[in-house]
Amino acid sequence: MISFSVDKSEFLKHIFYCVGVVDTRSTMLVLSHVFLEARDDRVYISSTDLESSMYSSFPAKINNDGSICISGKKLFDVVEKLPDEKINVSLTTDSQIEISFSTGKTKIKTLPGEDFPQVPKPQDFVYRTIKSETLTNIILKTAYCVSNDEMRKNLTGVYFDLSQPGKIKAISTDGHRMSLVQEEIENSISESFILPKKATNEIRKFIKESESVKIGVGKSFFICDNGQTSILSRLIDIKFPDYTQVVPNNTNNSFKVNREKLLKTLQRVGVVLSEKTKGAKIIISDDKIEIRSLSDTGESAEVLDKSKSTQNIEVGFNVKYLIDALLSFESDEVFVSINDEVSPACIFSDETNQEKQKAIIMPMRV
Amino acid sequence: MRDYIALIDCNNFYASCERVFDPHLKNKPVVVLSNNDGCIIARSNEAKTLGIKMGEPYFKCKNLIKQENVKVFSSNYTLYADMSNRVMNIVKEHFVNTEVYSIDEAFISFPSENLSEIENRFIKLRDKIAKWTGIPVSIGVAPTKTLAKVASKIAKKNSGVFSLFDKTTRNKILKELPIGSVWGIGRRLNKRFIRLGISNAYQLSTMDHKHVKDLTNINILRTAIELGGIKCIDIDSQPSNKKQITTSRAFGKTVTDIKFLEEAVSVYVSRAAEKLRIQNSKCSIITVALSTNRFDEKNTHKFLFMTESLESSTSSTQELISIAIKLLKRIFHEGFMYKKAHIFLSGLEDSKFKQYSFKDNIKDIKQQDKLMKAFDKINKTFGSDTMKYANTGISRDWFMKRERRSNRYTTNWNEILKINL
Repeated sequence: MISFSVDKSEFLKHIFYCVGVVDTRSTMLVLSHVFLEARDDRVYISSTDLESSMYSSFPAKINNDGSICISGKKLFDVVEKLPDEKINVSLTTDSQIEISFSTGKTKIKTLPGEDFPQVPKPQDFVYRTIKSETLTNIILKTAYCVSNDEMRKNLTGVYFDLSQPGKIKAISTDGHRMSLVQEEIENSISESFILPKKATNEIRKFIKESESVKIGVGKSFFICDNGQTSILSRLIDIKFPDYTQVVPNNTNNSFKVNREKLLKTLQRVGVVLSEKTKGAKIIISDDKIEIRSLSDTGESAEVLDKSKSTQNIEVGFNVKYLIDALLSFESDEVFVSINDEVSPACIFSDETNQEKQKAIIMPMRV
Repeated sequence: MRDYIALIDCNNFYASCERVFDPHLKNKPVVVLSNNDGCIIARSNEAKTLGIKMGEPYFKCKNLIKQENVKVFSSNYTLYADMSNRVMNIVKEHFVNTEVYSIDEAFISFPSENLSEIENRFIKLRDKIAKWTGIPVSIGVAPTKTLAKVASKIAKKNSGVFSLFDKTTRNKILKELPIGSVWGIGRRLNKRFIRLGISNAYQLSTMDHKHVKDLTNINILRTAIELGGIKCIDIDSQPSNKKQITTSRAFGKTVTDIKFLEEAVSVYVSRAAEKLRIQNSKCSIITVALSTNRFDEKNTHKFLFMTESLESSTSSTQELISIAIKLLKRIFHEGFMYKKAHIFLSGLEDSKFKQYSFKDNIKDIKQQDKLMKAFDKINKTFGSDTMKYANTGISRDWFMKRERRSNRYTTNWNEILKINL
């Protein structure tokens, strides 16, 4: 019967990595559980929703080998509230897991370890190494544009395009806005795939632990491994729309603006807007931008300095979309290009290397 | 000054609309049938006296109808909607704070100091509506919406206007009012209250508030408080837009040919898109469904449907018809006897704040919006279907049965009332 001792914070960290994958809505009760296995001086913890599976392991003092399934959420809630100290985890004779610590103990009901579905791990992966910081950066800058519309499945993930040697491009869109990021990577194999949103969210949690991670793409599957923790995710097997068609070719009519000031202005102006009236009017003149919002609850207007541009344009945008895009940039200043009232706005941080990061947003009728 | 509530309720509305244009029917039994001439949905007082029940299938009471020489009409919603508008416009002329609650009911909220004057004011309004439209109305006046409902029921049986301000009278009336007749108490709740020994409205009004909420929900608690004369439900003079638009109709006969189904789906989409534009919305999700006759004992009931999420929201009839026909072709199964088609439009957003998508050609959308505006204007001015898409068909053999429909006297020039002198 499984029994081990472990440092609370170490245990909690690995439960945290796995708990995001458990499926609490499934008719299969075991999918809301994490699988714990103790052997060879390590504890192995895994979870799956049959689309994504998370595997993690950490060293521990093993008193007895064994395996068990425990409700992921319950286990996380219990361990999170324990004092920072060594804890003992063991299976009791009545099939409950007992977590004991200096001042008490908690028992949780379990399912047998054999009930946990064994997701076969494909072996045909071609691996490459990527800096954790680079992958985190890509995910953070694209996650906000991923669609939640399950009826348009190909938009519910981040599209990774590795067709150019030495480069990794990531694109996400919900049909109204798009985010494009390009980073350098040691890569010689040309491929592209759509990684589901859930997998990108879970990857972010554990990759910061190491300087670099191995990513691999096999037939219909993706794997990301940092040595201690790994995620295996099924890819979205539908064609991603041709994103190059919506990227504006002409960004000549762009202007430079302080990102932080524009962001704060939009946040202030957006306060009076409601779920129904999400749009604000942007009036671009010589060296000023005026942003106006109007709704049933009130109105707001602000003027902001910008670099000189030639065209005077009045166009509406969803304020939340602009805020989300600006939050994804890190630079002090951004370039904004709006060609006319019927074309998308393009935001980029590096005038000479626009491909590095771009946000494209369609206008809104206001 | 205190605000009071009045409920203007048109008496036997559909039957009354038919009588307006055929005065011979005065004091004679009249009934109106549902779509496809299926069931009785409106009865004049004379028809009620004969024992014809609400919702009764027409074929079941055909003999009685023939024997008693009851005049039968198919439903004529175009006429009823127009007559309703006329009644509501008169009410709105007199009272700013009006909530059109249904096709034949309107709540109004008004301030008054002099209770004795209120009844006279509403007697004048009742007479004006009768004189200008020919529709008889009953008016119930009370401190709350729920009590106004009670008062309008009493008004129907009396002179047409009844006010319920006096506490003693109110309690006496509520004691005689069965719990199931209270506004908001449905069949299931009625049974539950009776099981608990609560059989009349007075008992509900005097119940402990916490007990009512524990037994039911916040809405019934509001009803109970309102029965006690305290206002909880306010007038909603600007009802919010619908979150889903549905057009669902049974065919006049079973349909097996996809050509007719395409026509039917196109007609229903046209109606749904029109409703969408009336409330200034665009939809981003469309569902098309087909169903077979659920009363057919020989074949199992089928309900086939498919949904599409649109890349860009739209209210264009043309665009929606083409998507709906594409979905129809996917769900259609040869050999089934289809009885009904359904269109559901959801994911509605305000047209004034349309978020464009990458797929959109914004100039084309603006053009399409103008076209639809002109389309609606023509149909509003010259009658429904003056302009229509060719997919909607000409003869529409599948269309619902309305064999006894009266003319659309007020909305169609070709059907205007003719007087032979």
